[in-house]
Amino acid sequence: METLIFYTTAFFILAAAGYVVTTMNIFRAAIGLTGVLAGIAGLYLLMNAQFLSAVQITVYVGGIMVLIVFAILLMPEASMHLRRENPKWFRFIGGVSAALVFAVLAYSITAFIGAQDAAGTSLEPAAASIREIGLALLSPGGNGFVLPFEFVSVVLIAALIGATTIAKRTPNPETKEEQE
Amino acid sequence: MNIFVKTLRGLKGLLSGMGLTFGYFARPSKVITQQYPENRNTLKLPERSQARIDLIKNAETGRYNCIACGLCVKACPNNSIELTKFKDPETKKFRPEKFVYHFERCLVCGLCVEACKFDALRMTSEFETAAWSPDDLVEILNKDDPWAHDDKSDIGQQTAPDKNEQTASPARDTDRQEHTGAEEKTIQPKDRSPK
Amino acid sequence: MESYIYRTDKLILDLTEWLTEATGSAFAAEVVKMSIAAAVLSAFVGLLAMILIYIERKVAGHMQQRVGPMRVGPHGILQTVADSIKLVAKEGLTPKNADAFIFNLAPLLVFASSFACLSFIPFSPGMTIVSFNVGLLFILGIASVGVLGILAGGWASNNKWSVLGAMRSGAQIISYELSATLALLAIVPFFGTLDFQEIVLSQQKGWWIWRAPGVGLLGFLIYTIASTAECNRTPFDIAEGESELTGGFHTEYSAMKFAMFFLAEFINIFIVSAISATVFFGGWMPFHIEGLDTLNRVFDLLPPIVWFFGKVACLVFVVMWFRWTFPRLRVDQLMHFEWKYLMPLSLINLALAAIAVSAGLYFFN
Repeated sequence: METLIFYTTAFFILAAAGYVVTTMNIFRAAIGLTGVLAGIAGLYLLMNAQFLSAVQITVYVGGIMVLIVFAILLMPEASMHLRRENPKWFRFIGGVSAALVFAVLAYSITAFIGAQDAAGTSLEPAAASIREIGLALLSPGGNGFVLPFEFVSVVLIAALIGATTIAKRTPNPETKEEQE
Repeated sequence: MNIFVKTLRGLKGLLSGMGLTFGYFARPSKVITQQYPENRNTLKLPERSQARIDLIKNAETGRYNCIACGLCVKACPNNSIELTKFKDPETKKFRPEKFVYHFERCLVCGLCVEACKFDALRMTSEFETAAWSPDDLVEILNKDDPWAHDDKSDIGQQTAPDKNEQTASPARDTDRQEHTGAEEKTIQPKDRSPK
Repeated sequence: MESYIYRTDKLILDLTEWLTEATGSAFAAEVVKMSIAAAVLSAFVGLLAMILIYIERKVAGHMQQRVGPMRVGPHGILQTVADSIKLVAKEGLTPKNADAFIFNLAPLLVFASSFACLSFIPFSPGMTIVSFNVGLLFILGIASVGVLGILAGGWASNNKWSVLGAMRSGAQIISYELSATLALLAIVPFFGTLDFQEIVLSQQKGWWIWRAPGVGLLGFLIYTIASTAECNRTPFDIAEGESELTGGFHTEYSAMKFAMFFLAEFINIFIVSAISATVFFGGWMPFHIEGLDTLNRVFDLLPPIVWFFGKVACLVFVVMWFRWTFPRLRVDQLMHFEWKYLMPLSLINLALAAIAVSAGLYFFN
């Protein structure tokens, strides 16, 4: 039964992904992408990774997709149906590179799983509790991720400062604005 | 520091607003909506509610205060008042001969009452004015005067009770049919038999 | 039978056991259980929306010295039934040059996200349709999917007011989500879990709104403000702004599609109040005072589900009270308030909460 659910979800994801790259309407592509990301969250759920699934929905569907849609709404071209303008060999190259990426991914994943199965280290999917995840994120040492965690926070701070700088109103020296 | 004072003041304002609305919510006796057709017998209208106009009588003499000056006729934007006047031989003052009120044209704005300088007009709160035909809405307001009884069939066929009759219909230069050359007759008689 | 009302967890367990025996497999029992849950939830949603709309109109009336609906049925009880029948019977229009696919998808997105949130709410002991160890996080995530539906609906309507309303709504919901999440997050360290049932169980000795010193109350205030904004309700209803945008994102919607938006709005009010009741007011946990056993037993007489709905009803009333008292904010004031006051305040609240937890500074620990 789980297999059936998996294949249904996977088929839905693939169909949505195909729709994203083939549709000529950018807004519809965004909606399709939402479907893909939500479907992946569903797959995580199937693997009992509830935290990951929740994060996927919160960050990707609820956060990034909303921002993408928001950006699309700000574009005047959003409602236009774009026409294919690229030469045909573009599509050929795209197809070839997509096939290559697929081959590499498929090979590495099967090789990885095969090696784990052979070594008997393949782990059963388990629902990690919030406590475990938190401890792992903030503990130094072999199993800790405190260094990447701090790096990410530095990157986020940089992004925040950058955004503030760009959005800051440059004071006009000629007209004295109200200063509170 | 200023921001805290401001915040507190704002919060106080919000809370007092919430207190007011909750006060209304908690006391259903404060409801002002009237369930109209059900409470028709006990209906209480606010004092300043205004519907159709009426003439005011002097309590002592029993006469209408109106001196037929025609200010209300001029004030009315819809020409819903028509007025003929005559000189009362007793008091040597003008009195309305027929004060015809076209409620079908009236928009109850109250401008005539405002224009009246002799406290002769008022807005009543009679709001149940539905009628089967527009003609039913034409009414003679000084109906207590013996020469202007409520028999509307003679509108337009009026005979002057006095030779001093003058019309006080609007002197403005409108080319509306009712009033151009309305020196003698102001209203056309209409067939008022029920259909 | 009587004990089932109090021990709904036992009811669910017995039901599962009985179903497993009857169907022969745990999976089939689960499927049957989910189907029952879905049916019950659908009926619940319809009923809830009707009751909430009726109450909203009554509350609105009485707060403005009016009486609200009075004609259909005694005291207008059947008014919302009549309105629903009207909405179902109406013709669903799709505007010319609108993107029909997305136009029809948008209300579904909004409704589905609200509906999915309901399945995490702990109504009573053991009565949660989906029990996750990250329920709180999940509910916050799914709630933000509704924005997508609003944005999509506004864009697909091919109407500039709709797009404007959708953009305003999007900006508003994204902004206020931060404060709402941070306010809830400030309480999370106290109970150290995101599972709704465990959150409720952690309030056996007292509700977090006063057990967490100061932080609980501040968090509750911030969450109430931010969640009102997230629901697009007055005083934060600039997304709809009837007087400016003629309805905002749902200007072009009619009949059932409009009803979906409307339904989602009222479910959202319920969900927001339910989360607030669960996190700050102990969910279905009766009011207990340590040491006063007689009093506690009197409070226990009420079944937990009554406690839950009672608390939610009070919070829903507060939200309605806001709506019929406060005037609408301007767009820039709205953003100003969120980013310059509410967000820093909720961050400070979070820091204070972390200090309080690590120092063990809370009551009844």
